[in-house]
Amino acid sequence: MLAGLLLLLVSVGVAITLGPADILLVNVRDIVTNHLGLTDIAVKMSKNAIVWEERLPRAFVAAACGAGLGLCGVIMQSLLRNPLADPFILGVSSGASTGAVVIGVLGLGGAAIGLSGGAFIGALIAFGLVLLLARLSGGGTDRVVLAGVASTQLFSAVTSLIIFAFADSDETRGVMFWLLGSLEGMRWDDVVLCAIVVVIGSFVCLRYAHALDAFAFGDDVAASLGIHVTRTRAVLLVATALITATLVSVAGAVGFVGLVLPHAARLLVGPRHARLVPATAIIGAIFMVWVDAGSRVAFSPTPLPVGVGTALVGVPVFIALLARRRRRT
Amino acid sequence: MHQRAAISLALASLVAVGLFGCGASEAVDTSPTSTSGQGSTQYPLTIDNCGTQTVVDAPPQRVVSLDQNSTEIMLSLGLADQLVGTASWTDPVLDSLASANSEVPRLSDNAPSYEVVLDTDPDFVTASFGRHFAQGGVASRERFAETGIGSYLSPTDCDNGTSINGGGTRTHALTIDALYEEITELGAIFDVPDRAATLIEGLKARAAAATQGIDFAGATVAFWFADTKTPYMAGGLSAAGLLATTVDLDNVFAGSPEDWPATTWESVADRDPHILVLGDLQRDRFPGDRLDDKISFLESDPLTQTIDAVRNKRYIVLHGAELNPSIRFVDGLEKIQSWLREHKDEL
Repeated sequence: MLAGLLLLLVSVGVAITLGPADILLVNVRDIVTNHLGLTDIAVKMSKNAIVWEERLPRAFVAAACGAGLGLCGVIMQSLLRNPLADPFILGVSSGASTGAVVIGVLGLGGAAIGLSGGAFIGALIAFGLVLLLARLSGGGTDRVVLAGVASTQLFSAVTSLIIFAFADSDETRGVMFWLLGSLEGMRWDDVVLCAIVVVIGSFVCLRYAHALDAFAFGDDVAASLGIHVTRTRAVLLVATALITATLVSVAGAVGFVGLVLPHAARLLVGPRHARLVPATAIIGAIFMVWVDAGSRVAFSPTPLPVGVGTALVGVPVFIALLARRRRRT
Repeated sequence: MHQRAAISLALASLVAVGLFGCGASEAVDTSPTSTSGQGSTQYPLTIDNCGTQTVVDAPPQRVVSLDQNSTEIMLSLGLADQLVGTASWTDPVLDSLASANSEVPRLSDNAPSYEVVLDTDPDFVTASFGRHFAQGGVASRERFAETGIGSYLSPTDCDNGTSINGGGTRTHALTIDALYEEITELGAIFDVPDRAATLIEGLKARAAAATQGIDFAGATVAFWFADTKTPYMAGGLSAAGLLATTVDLDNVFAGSPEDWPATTWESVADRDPHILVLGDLQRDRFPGDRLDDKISFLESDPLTQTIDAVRNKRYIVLHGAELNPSIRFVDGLEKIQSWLREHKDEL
């Protein structure tokens, strides 16, 4: 675990040296030490802004998103006993998209709420709908999945409707970027928000690690092991929805991470949640930091949405992991 | 095993970074930059630009222009030395500005990222379209101001303090005065007011000459920008709409407040324009961008074949930049005038 954290720190350190702007390592070192209060070396304002106000917040938000979405993926897959579940199964990302386009394209609420605020509200509404539908249809994990599918489709359709009916081509492109997941324009207050959410989320997950292990055997077995099934499920679903809603409203819907990283972590450290949860978080964080650095550089000067990079890079890595596993067993 | 692999990888990276990261810090040039200009502008100059106050303390020396229209105005004002980067090119540069433009680095054919712009170490940023300053664009004007970079948005994209391209809608039609206002303001910011005045006089003279003796006898027109599936046609308040009103053509989509609403061929055929203005877009990204694609589509599609302009092959060809607010507006007027001279009998 400690090794993982060290690797994450080093990843962040290396990632902030990468980018389309040609900034020497000595400059990066100077900028970082200046801000940490250790030195007071003269650095060009533009380079300082690039490293400290653009690359570093991005790297931290990427790490937080990777960790948070990975965590939510683990919870969803264990809770719903479905290996194809991901954090977006609760309709959260579609609801966030709808919220964002309502603010961005229709202009309701406007500057007071902002795109992220609108996205968060939309996400919560979608999740509320999922809970309502699940409750109306009798509860249970399969009902939750179906309700999630219905909610996702509904809000995706509404998003598309608003875009096609009201947005011009430039607005559409701006929204598209966000829909695919984008770390452009991340600032330090985004970092603080995401970090708080992910840290709290990790503690919640670790606390329920035992319960998640038990859920793998079904509701009845879990209940017989002394787990409050309905209450635990409710707490975990709400926690997942809140974490995902926050991360999606900051960085858009970054796909692949929540679905595949839990499996990758499981292949590396096994299915016990006490180890799986921290492993997924750290692997997710490291993965996203590198993909973000890559998407800065790959098609420079045009930025690549990070959600595109996660799938393009993640799929081959995952295939390699699967192949390795097959050869061993 | 994984633990050891992770630890060794981490240590190896640390050593590598440490080796490369050693060395003396880079020197920063703090000598004052030279300022040149007529000496007419009173600095600090405060400009109220589309809802944002920009204060300019001295003529900017390192400017990034995010759009071709803005770039061409700057080059026409002889400011090539002050330009350190350009972006968002929709057409080849005007022939008269080609040699000046060859000295200026092109950052991107489309919109660049914030980091790429900042890497040029700019002190000023100009744009013709507000989307660069909106969400999903390069960076907001406030963010540029954080590092002391002033910003300027063309008044042609401004309506009552909101950017049209950045998400607003026009409440009144674009006029040529907005373009002249942009040239005048840039002339003041860069302390070259005489060059600005000369440029405006030249444009006004060309525009007056181009509208001499034009009589379209009440013909109707539609301006088709791009896309064969959902054609983007010019609305009444746009730059293309301004072309129509200047030469007294009746734009069949004048009722739409958007600059380039997405329409259907059914509504175009229903309005049956006499003349079609076709955008010849060099970007060649979507079906129907290029002129040949447009014409072959129009003449082969069973619905569009019925349109009056297609049946009689009345096409006026304009570049993308001539259909958007820019100094090429006058080139657009001249092309319309020369088409009319050739085809007057056909109307």
